[in-house]
Amino acid sequence: MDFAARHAGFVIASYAVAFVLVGGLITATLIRYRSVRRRLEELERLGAPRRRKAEDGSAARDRTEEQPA
Amino acid sequence: MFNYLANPTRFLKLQAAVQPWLTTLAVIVLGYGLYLGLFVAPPDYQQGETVRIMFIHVPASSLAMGIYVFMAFAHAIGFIFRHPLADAAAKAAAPVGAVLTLISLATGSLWGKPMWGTWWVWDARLTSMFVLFLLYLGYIAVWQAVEEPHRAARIAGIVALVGVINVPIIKFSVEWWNTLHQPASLLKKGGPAIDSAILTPLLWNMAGFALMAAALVLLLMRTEVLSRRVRQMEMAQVGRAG
Repeated sequence: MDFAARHAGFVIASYAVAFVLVGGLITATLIRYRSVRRRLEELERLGAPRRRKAEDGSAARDRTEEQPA
Repeated sequence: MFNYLANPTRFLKLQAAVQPWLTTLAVIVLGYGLYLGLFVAPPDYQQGETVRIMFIHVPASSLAMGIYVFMAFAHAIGFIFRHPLADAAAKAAAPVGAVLTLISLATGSLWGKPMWGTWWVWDARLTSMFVLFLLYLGYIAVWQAVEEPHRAARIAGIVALVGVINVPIIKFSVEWWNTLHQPASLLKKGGPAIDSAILTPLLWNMAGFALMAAALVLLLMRTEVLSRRVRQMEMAQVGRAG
């Protein structure tokens, strides 16, 4: 690419915008992932059960709760 | 495979195995695509150097539409089959789609100023793309605003399924209306109307953007599954304390 060419600034600005937006998304994703993982580890350390007990004492199931593989 | 992935624990195992390979592949393909686009592809005889903007504008635009269709499809699977990960997949894809739409709008504007002489016109293609961005924001806002996940999934699903009608409008807007935006030059009858010197880097970048989006969506899905687990554990803890 000829960086001295006419309109080169628009090209550089486009790549910079894309880089900043994608970089921001990646950073935000990693921050959120690490914070969720830390909270999960904290709850596991506290011995929190993975499913709540229903009124009758049986485990109340949720569609997304962990199931054995 | 469909039923296999219905188990979040199995999904987490598979995701952990696939993620490093997918991320590495995305970095390599996108890196090579950007190298081709910036340093190997020749300037266009009409657009000059600004043709290089197309190497990010076109992949971002096509993926922005593709991801919205994926979200609508995932919610349809969630509604019909009650697949436990369908809503999580759609929710994970939304921020990626929103960012790609914003990249498409911003780079399109940066291309439009030197080529059309204006940053923005309210023509059918640009307006429908802007509507797509608003749909993404609305979709994300639903998930943020509704606390109960199943209710949020239902409302967000309706937004995704109703909003998907905008995707064919974006695609065919350049044919249905008289727009400043040029007609399709990649997916058209008779094959692409682009020279191979420009087409090759474009396809590499499209593949690179798609791999990057897939890697991000997978990681966001993992985050979503774990955050639902956190929510269950917090509720169980509250229940135990009560």
